[in-house]
Amino acid sequence: MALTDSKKIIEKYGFWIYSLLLAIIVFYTLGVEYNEWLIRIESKSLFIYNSDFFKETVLVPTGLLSYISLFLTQFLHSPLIGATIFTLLLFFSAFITKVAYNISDRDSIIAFLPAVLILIINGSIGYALYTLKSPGFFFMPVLGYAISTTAVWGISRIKSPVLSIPAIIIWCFLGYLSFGIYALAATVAVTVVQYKRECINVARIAILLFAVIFLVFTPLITYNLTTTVSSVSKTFLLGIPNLTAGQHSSVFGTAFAILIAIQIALSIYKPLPQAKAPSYLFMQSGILIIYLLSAYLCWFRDPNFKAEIAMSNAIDNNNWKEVCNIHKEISDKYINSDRKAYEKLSAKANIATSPAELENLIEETKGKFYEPSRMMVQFKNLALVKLGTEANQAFAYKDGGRIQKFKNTIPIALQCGKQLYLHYGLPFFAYRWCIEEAVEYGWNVDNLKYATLSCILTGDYGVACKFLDKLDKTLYHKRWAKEVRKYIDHPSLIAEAEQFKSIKQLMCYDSTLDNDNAVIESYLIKHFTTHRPQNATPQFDKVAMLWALQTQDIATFWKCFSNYIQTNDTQKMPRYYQEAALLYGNLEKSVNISNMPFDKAVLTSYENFNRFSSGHAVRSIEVSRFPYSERFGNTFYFYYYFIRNLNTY
Amino acid sequence: MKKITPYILLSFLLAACTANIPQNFSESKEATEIFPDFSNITIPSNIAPLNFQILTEADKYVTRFSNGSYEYLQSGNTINIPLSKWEKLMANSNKIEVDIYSSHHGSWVKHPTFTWQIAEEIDPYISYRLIPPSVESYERLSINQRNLTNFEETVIYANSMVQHDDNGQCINCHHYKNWETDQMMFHARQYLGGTVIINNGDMKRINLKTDSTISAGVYPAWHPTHNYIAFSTNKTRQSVHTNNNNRIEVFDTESDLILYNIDKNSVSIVENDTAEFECFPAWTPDGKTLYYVSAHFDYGFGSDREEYIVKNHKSIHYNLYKKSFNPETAAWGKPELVYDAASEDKSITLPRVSPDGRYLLFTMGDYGVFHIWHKDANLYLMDLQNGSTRELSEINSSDVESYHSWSSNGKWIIFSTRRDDGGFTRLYLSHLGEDGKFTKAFPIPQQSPDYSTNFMFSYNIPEFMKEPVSVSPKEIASFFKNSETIQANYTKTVNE
Repeated sequence: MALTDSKKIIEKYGFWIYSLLLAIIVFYTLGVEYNEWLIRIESKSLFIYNSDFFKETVLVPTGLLSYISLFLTQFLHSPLIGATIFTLLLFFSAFITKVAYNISDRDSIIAFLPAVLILIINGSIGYALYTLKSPGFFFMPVLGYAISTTAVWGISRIKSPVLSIPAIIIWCFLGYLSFGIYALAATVAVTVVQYKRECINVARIAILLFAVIFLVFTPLITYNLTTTVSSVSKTFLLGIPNLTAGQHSSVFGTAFAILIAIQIALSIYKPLPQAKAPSYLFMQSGILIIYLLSAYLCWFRDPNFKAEIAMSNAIDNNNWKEVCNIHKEISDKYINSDRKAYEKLSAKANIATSPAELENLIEETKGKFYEPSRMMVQFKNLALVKLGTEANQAFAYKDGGRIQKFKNTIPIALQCGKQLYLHYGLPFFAYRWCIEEAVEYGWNVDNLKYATLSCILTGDYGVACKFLDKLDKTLYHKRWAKEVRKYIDHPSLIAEAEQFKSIKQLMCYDSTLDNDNAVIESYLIKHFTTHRPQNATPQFDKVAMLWALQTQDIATFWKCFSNYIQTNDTQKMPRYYQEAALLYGNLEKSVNISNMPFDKAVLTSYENFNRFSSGHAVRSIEVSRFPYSERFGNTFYFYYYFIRNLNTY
Repeated sequence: MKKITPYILLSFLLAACTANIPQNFSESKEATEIFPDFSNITIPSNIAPLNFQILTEADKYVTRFSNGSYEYLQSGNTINIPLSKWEKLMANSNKIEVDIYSSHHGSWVKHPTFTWQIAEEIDPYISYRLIPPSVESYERLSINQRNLTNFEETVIYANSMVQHDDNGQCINCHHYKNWETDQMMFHARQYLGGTVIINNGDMKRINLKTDSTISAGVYPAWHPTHNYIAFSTNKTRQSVHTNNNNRIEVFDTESDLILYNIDKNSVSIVENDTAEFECFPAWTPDGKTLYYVSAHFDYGFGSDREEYIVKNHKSIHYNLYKKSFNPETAAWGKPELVYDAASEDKSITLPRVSPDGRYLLFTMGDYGVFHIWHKDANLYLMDLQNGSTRELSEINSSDVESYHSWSSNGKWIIFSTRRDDGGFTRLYLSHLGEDGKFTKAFPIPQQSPDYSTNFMFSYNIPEFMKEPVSVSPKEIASFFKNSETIQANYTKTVNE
């Protein structure tokens, strides 16, 4: 009885129940869990309120779709508004699917399949966010699908073939130019609907003939008239977010193919046969679980990716404490799982009989321990430099260099080159990366802002004004532009401004011709540790010390150390410098440290470290890292011995 | 009553929009600030309307254009002159006067009149490369052509048309024979690269790199009377300034000159002194002399040559040379030093001889070969009759002036400059007077006055054309995809 009632409820209110479920899940995921991601997506797009931008965007095939998508993308800057708009559009896509394809209330769960696929498409983007060539990508699939399906619904209402044929033709032509592949799929769908409806053979043939002609020739004509598409096959795929070749995941491509196929396949939908309550409910639950599970599994859920984005946003806001907090929080979150992983590894390692067996074991456990990415570590170090605590806190945070869990590694240079270079006092290199990014992937809020800041620091106010003129015409960033413009109007304010002061202190070097070969960490190490200017500022030597410590190179340390003591106050020597001096002085006797006034705490921790080491032989860095990190994680000794072979990219 | 109401409303609306010269106004000595700065310039008689924006703050504006016999009024601070009105203003006149009136709190002010002197016609078309001012990336590059008599702009060829996944193409210099587009060429490198030569409808893609030459042809100069193209061949590198507003340094580690014989598909050496970096060939109108620049560099052939140049890039100075040439025998004379820029710690690039052979226009900066990134680069004019040279202070700015070319009648030049904002290259025109002086330079007019402010590409390699390129972009793209590259043959040079 209860099952039958449940079935009746689902049959009658299923659509609304599923809609509610969809709304809650999507809104919570985007608006709360992934709100930083939405902000980042917005920063990688640009919508300008002027006619030139409209013409530039719209006057290319599928330009209208891009324009509307970009318009909506700007609202992601306010994640709750952006999530609401996206949720409503997803709901509308389900609703219009149900209406356009006459999906019965009983089968309404089918109408949510496109929405789930759209979620998967967006959620699987991952690091390709940095190499997107369609900045409005987030709304493109949902808009393209929803508008095209609305066209299916509209044209399907036309009963007379005399009117429906011109409608199909007009839709195919204008729809394709505006929405690309979604319009082609909708044309196929509506042709099938009209074909099925017609009883007269002539009308059927006419519908089929005109549809096929326009389906084939519209893209072909477009290809011949445009200079923006490189091949005929690509002309048929216009409207799919354009990613750099090789950067999209297979999930992205598969979900897209299914979405287009579904749009067409639904045109032959027939209500599913009646089933008994248990079977019906079982099937409904099964489909629902598949939906939820697919969306969950296909979503790019890498914690480092999420953390990097949040840290990046915090840097944009000069919120340096937040940058450190994010790093700390994520490391702390995994401490228990790390301990468990260590216990398992340790137990197995104890019974490993040969080095080869131990190696295999280590290989197996790789990935079981949490490890931050290089970008996170560099963000954290930068934040500590800004807070002035890097010499006493840099190693209090988990270190590492986990490679991105993505198809192809996106270089740090592309992700945050401009941020690191700008804040480390290399605005010309920051500008260079802004421009490289803009050329490859288009101008966006992010690169315009950093290009502006770079130009203000280099005194290129004319170019800075050009960028600000663009930001002035945005909805969410005109205030930022107004704030920054005051530095161009009154350059004397730059020296006093908090955000520029620390950067200016690092710009004390003479110009040279150089290249970073797109490997930022290596370049910054070289810049700070080997290119010391004659008039180096105390801040330059401080930052050089941070990089010198990271190199784990004894000679580099002593060289930078001797520079440091020339320009900085040596009354209170920072802890890590003392630890490094003590360690290096004992490892290599190249510098006499016997007269150095080490703090008692430093001497004690060094003794403790040595005592612990003598009682706990290190069979392998990987096996011993965890217990050492628990006791000595916040020391330079631990960093020197246990953070090794890091990969930068 | 109902029927006439809309007409009454329309009349009010029209009256509100119609510009009238204010009856009462005071004269101001303060000139209005307009963008682009079109005040007091000499313009070609066939140029497109000079639309501009009035930047001076006011409540209302009225602008009056008059050629003495016809006048046109427009209100508002964005001046967009309809083509029909513009044609009337330009017809049978030698001068247009522009009066701007502005209103502040109800009182009108008339600003000083500025004039547009109308001079000889200009070639109706220009072509240029649109390029982002980046170091390495070139996702979107195109050669476009612009009708200077209106605002029509079309693509001649774009690299997006052949891009295949990660395989991109970089489009390099383009050039025409005697400003006519039935004989044109451009070079594309990397994916499907080669030198495309369109010779009276016959399109070929040539590989000009031979075992005896450094590279494919780089900077071209089509011989005015014969089917030769002189090129430089270069091994070009670039590096980024860490703390210098010139931002990027592009330099050659090797550089020679070659001559390509189109009919024989053969390449021969013009200059390949190992101690010299020869570059930028330019023919005289009779085709009997080739001007070029060359920097002396006798460091040798060590493996750290590039590193050495990077460190000493500021000491590389290019002088101006010329060489006689016999077009019939393709025989060369000896190099002659024309201008010793190195002795002045200067460096010359981009020599271009005027169509009448009287003047030689070139760019000169403090050092190096790639002046588009040098803020000290300026235009200079050499009078070939008496050998005197002067800096063109009347058209130079405090920022970059670089690539330039002469119109076919020799009355106009177009040149690239970064004077607008310091970062994005824009094209400016200037008229050469009978006295050998140029008039105030002005940017090529755009439909929307703030177009160049919003546009995020740089214009470079501007070349005048007498007519548009007739080969379609699709034909060129299809040619790239479907044609085979023809290998040029190497032949020995004939010396006099």
